[in-house]
Amino acid sequence: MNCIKLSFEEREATLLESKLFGYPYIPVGVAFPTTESGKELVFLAQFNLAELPALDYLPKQGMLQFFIFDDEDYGEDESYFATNTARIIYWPTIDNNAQVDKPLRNYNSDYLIGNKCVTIKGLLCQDNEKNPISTSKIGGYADFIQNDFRIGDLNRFRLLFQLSSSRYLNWGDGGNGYFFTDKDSIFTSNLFHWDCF
Amino acid sequence: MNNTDYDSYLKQLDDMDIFLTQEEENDLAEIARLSESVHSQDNLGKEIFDTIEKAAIDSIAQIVNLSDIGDWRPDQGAVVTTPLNFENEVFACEADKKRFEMWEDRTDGRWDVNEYRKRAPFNNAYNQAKQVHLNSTKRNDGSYQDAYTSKTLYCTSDERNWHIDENEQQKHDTTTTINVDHIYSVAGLSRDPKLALYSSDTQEGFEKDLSKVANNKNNFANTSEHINKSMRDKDTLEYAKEHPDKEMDLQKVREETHKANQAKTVETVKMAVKNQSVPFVKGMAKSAVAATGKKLVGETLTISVQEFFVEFRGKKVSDDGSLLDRIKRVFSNIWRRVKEELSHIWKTIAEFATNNAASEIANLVVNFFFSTAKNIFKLIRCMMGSILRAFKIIADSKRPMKERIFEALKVISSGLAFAAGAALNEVLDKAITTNLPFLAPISSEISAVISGLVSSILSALVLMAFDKHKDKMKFRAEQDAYNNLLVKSAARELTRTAISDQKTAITMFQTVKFIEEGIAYMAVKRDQILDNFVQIEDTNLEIKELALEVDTSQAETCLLLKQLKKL
Repeated sequence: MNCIKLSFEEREATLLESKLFGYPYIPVGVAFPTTESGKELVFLAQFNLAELPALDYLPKQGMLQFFIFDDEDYGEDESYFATNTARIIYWPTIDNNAQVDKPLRNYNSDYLIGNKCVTIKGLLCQDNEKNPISTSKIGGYADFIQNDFRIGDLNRFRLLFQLSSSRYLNWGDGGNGYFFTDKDSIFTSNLFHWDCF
Repeated sequence: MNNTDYDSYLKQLDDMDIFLTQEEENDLAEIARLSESVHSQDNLGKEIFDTIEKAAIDSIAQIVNLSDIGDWRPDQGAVVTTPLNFENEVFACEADKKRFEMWEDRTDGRWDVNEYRKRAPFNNAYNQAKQVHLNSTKRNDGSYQDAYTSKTLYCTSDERNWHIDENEQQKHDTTTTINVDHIYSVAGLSRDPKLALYSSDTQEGFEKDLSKVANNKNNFANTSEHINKSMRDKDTLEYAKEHPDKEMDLQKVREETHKANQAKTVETVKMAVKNQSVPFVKGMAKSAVAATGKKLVGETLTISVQEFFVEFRGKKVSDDGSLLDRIKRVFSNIWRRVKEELSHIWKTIAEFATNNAASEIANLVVNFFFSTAKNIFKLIRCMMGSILRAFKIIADSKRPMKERIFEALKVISSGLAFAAGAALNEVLDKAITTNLPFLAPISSEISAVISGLVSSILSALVLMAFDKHKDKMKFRAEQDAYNNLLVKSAARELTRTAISDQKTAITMFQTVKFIEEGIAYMAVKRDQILDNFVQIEDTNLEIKELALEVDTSQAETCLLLKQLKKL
């Protein structure tokens, strides 16, 4: 299966670039994502799909965003479903007039201040189910550090984004964060999980 | 080695030149100035010099019998890279410096510690070890036991781990889901200075070494996903103490940590043998080489110190020629004594260490010590800085005398340790390269190991010496404190006795009062009981009278009944 292996570069980025942290793209008139109880989520990453190599199971353009939450579990729910404290948001079209309208805080990192963030580049790769790529990637197979949590009905979810620990975010003790989406209904039903050594 | 060789070596000593650099000349000039200053102070003089000399020589005299364990915290450099030295950026060799730079990059975040986790060797080692661990800890019913809490755990896919909530949504329980925890976290290990020091000096090599420690089976412990994630990369025992709500059994955590620590130590020693010392470390540490080096350096230093003190004790510079002349005279005396006194030691050692590789190298050390005799001057020059600093401290009239002596001692002893290691390192390196060409590629490692051993010994020596003298200095204060405690204790006992008396009196008074009240109460009760007895007797009489009346009535009733029947 094809996947996009990701590499990072620490520098200032525009609002519409693919990046980790910093300011997310928020269309004009749209509120910043919050939990059901109104607490703001933490912006983790966004991918301007037009900038990345194409994958046959992903749209060719639009903005794909990932949010987590500032708690002990980074927003992971016991059901694994990413509907409240973790979220995947996809914007099919990008509003070029979008502006940063509020200051954002950083998450678990001394490196990322204000507009400074980590830009992302992607390289098309072949992933192997038995020996999956362990670094950050879009698509492919999840490289679980502990165990695959998907049983029964959850097996219909495929890996969308795997973010491995880095100096920017350490999932526990060198772990990985995983976002999955429904194979048959992409972006509408999603899962979030993380594990560590 | 025969006597002719010795004579030849000894003769070279007579031909030596003495030269000093401009810097050393400047140091000597300052020593001279400070020396004058010292002698101008009434409360200083022979006593201080005697004390320092004795302590310094006592320290050095212990070299031969010391173990090779010790950490030294030098103010200005050292030649052995102990873990403490390592953290203080004091290195024995370039390789250790490189190790330090790599370690600093990891701890400061310049090098991403997570990089190695992305590489196949680490991942493969982890996955294999984890699977073996899981297989070996799985119970017959497919469950596992939490090593920290003893609770039962299940695999993520185990149905016993899932439940349906009130909204009919399937949820898993992180408190019963098994995770394999690294007792020493991978991130923590990558920041561990000891591991950094004893592991490889290449990035790739370090990653392999790290994997061996992190993925050692004894570094694995089953615990819940909840605890493993919550713990992040913190120390397991500290986390358990800080989070009683997690119900981790501290004794079990200690046992697991101890097991992991043992494995870590074993792996670290293996690394040290492989990376730091080459196979020589095993045999050489206890060999005649180390003994020879220790003895030679120790004795030479003892003589050097003695000569310096003999020359400068209580004498003004102007008493006996220029300072340079006096220094030269010290050197000459040192060599005279080295020739006379140490040749016997060297011969004994050479005869003792025979018929093995160690003895060959021991001979080489001895030989080279002679043939490159100028090295001893390097050693003395190394001490020069320490002597200068010691003089500065002694000349500082603002500080108490005891403190001055102690500080001067420390400086001189540190200088000695440094000088000994520096000299021996170079001597060994040259000796091995010249005389054992097949060992040339690793000569620097061998010499670093041997001189490291000597320096470790010297380091331990410095610590021991100062502990010893500190104790002596503290004794009087401690004795006073002890006496005070005794007095206080006696006073306390007297007070306690007085309080006890008071308490006893109160208790007795209360007891008497209680009994008095009790007796009065009992008298009242007795009267009441007597009254009751009278009442009971009266009642009995009444009952008897009533019974008679009843009997009479019954008789009359019977009679009437009979009369009625007749009618």
